[in-house]
Amino acid sequence: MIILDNASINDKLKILADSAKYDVACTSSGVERKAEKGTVGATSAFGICHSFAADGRCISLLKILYTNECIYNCKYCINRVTNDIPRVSFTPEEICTLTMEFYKRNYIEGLFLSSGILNTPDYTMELIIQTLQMLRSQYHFGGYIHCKTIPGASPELVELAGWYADRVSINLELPTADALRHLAPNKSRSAILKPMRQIQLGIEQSRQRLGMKGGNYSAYRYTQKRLGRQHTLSETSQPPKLSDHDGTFSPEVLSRQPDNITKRGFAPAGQSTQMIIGASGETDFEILSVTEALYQRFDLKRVFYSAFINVNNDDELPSPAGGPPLAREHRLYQADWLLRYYGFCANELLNEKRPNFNPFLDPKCDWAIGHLDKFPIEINRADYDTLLRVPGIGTKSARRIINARRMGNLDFYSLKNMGVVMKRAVYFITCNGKMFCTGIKIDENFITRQLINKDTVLLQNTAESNITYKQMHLFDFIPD
Amino acid sequence: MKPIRIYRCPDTICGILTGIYDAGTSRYGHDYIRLETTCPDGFSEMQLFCEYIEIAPDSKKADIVADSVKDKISSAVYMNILHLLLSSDTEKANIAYHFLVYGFHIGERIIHALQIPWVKQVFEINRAVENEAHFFREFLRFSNKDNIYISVIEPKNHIVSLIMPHFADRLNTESFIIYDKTHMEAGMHPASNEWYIRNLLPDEGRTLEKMYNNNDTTASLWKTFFDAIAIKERTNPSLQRNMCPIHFRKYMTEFKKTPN
Ligand code: SF4
Repeated sequence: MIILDNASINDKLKILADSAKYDVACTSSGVERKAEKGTVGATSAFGICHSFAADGRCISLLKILYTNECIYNCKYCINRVTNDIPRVSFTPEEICTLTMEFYKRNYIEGLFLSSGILNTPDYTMELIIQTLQMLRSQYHFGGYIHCKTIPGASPELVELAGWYADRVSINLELPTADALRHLAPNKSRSAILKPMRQIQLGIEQSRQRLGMKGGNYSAYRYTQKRLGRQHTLSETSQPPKLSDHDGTFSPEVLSRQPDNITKRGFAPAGQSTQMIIGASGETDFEILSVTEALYQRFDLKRVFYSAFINVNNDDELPSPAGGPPLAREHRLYQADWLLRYYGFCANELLNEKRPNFNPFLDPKCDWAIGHLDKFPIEINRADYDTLLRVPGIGTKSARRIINARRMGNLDFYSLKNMGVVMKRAVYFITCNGKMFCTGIKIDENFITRQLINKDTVLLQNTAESNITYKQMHLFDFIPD
Repeated sequence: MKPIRIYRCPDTICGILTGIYDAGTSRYGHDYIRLETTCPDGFSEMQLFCEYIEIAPDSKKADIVADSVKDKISSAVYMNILHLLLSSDTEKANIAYHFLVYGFHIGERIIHALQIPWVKQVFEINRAVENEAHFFREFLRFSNKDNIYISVIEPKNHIVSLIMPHFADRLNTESFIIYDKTHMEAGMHPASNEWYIRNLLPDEGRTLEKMYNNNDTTASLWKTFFDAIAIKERTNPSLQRNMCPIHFRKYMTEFKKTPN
């Protein structure tokens, strides 16, 4: 291992941002908090992107590793112990100064701190906690902090992370326990799921103490509630207890915390995770089912996907000729959106017989074409959840339709004003009993051909959360 | 046939609200009324067969309009009108007037009636103004000169008043200035104090622009970060352009070429 002791701050930043870049989440959303007088920084519920890198991904947080030294040997990771690369570490002061200076210039919303494992998981976790504590208490930083917990770190340290950070996450890394054992031999599924459960319970308690300030519910949960699907609610309200840590905050940890730390809530922006797509042989159906289970059983805010890149040119891992599986990643994000906001279930979109997404059609169009018996839907009568199932109608346009309908019947012309993507919707709807034009046939082949011709841009757009969010408020009027 | 009557309002919130007051109380007939904003240099094209009425801004009349929008329609609609009047749309005075004619008739549910073309236009312009404001909350950059944070922007609409509260909250401990070069105005925030907006003289604008400096150590650290965080294998300039349009990049630190 080549350890650079005298690296400049610029060199460290270069190396430690470079090795943090594969972490997907850069969102700063999930908690709305005004600044207190005399402190620097606020957070915005919907998150704020501050720039877009050359790969088109949003930059919202100063996303860095504390160190890229690591004792583990995950096959997919550039920092694995067997790699011959220069290794550097920040100091807590350096991270604090960078965060504050960047924040005041409106470069960032806050800090995303992850790390390789230096000496032991606990040793590393302590350095991370020390940094966060310094940032909150000495530098009076009130902006967003996303903290990765280190697999294998002790529950007390995980708990502290939750008090300082807005969002806590631990990467699932791979969709199945098998793949994890194979590709990340030092990590175990339980070392990942245990802290995940601990944080879930912590957030739940924080809500009980502080109400919504203690942590907002996830979009997934709101959607399930709206649809009256109670099963997931009862599961999370009585989560299975874990033997060695039952989720109650430890009194020692709590008593050491100043009030201004605990009153912010425990990980109030919730918990997220990510998994690598395309390094092991899972189907889209398996991945989406795992995602659904994570939302239901761990009350996660987000599940992120990262198209696999074989950075180590490891022979045991795939190196697809067409580059990383970006189109696949994009389809999974679209499907994830359908689970969280539209009330779709994983097994409605895919099943064992048809386990992968159609590369040419987005998952909602694909679903609609497979369920033509449910269409066309009458715009002037359908309820909110039925409208949401129409391709081209999103959460905002469905809301607008419901509201505008109260003021009088809608025709196709006014639908454009609601933000409906007509080039997708027209095959599935009627207005006052009429289809958009006479040439439309409710026929699988006909509609598929129409949609594919106009749907080519979709394949080029790879997206993560912020991008999808952005696309929502860009109006898509019919160009043709 | 009755001639169209055109009320010419100075392009200020007070000016346009006064025009709405005068037009609305004229009993001339809404279909024959049009409101226009006058260009600052006083020259605009006039048409034959129209009657022109020049509006003298009157804050009492403007207040009456503002209060009745809030009382009789809703404060949400009032905010819509304010955003509309901050826009650079040349039709905004006329749209505001005809929107309000419906608004006083229908009440607060007016904002849902996107079927009505005036409502749709208010909705679209509001979104354009709010989107632009939001872009600047994201993409505006401060530089630091003697602990005064300075930013230069060139927005289409008058959005400084919409973004000042955002920065005044999170940077309440700092002194900062947001200089809107398009409209020659600046949002000023003295550390730990209330913010305000000031019109600027040309040489004040030049001074501020000179003080805005993208080339210190922190700026170059930011550029280092910006370059390092992109994944080579995913390079996608067109996606980058969609998300961060070129015209916003003019004053953005990370897109500035370094001199050497
Ligand atoms: S623990 Fe694994 S994934 Fe994390 S830095 Fe070390 S080698 Fe990489």
